[in-house]
Amino acid sequence: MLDKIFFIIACIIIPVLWGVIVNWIFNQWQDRSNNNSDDDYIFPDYQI
Amino acid sequence: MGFGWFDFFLISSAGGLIGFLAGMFGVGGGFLLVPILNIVLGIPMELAVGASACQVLGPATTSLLARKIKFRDLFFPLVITGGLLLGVIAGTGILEHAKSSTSVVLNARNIIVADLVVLIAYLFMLTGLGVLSLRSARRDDSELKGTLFTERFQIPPVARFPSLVEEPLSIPVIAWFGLGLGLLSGLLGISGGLLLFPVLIFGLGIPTHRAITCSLMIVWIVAFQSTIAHAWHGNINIMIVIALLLGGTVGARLGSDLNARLKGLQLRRQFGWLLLSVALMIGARLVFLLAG
Repeated sequence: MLDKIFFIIACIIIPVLWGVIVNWIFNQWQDRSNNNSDDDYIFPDYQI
Repeated sequence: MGFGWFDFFLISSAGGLIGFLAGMFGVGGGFLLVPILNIVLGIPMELAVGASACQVLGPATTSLLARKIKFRDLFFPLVITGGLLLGVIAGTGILEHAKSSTSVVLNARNIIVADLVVLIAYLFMLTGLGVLSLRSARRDDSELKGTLFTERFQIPPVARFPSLVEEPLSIPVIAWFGLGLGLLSGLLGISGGLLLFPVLIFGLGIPTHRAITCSLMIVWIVAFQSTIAHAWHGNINIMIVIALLLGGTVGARLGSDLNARLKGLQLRRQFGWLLLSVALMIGARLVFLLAG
């Protein structure tokens, strides 16, 4: 039972953590682009 | 079910291709993922459905974090959540029942019931949506605005969602829609954006930019519930999910870049043909399964 609960938590945490990391990478990239360019940066629009 | 590095690469490549198409057309891609994982890569149907439902949480989290969500944006998603939960439980229950039935003998062939149920459901859904998409491709974006549910289905009690739409919306209609969406998500592993987005815009008359945020939140909730239900039934293989997350992110980024260069009419026509092509692939698989 405990194994099952840990497995469910892992199934939720792995993709959510991945989503947070990808968002962080894009934010870093956005900051770098803003520093290098005077043009307004438009964040890529994802729709699920 | 064990996976080697080659299988991991294959699944990740499939995830990349589907992510590209999903990014190009602005959808989650679960409706492509499950048939390709099952028919092309031979992954058991319940694992394909579970992985598809679980991996959606990754891109959905990224998309939600990229937007500034206000408290008032949560009202509609919270109203639909009850229906979604019951739908997800019913959908995974049907899949679980089909899985436990193992196989039936038809034309002297052993057919896995779960494959049959999911493929038939996909065939009907994709054919219907493909035809609708091709029909809507004949009309301009401005002609497609409609408020079908706010004008014809005002079943009480109703509620107002000032952040979304001026007209009051029927709570039972929202809950039943959530039930249907949750059922399809639990049974087919789709995120629901494919059905959600046209209903929010053309059915409820919600403006496009508000519908995107609302759709994203509902997709996240339905993916969360679906992941718990499929993990509980042992339908999720973590390695498949990781492979899909890796490939899908790169593909989605490339696809969304191409999306900006295409027009709405062009996109709807190509999307309609894509849906019908996948429906044709599923139809061919069903004929092969049933007739041998």
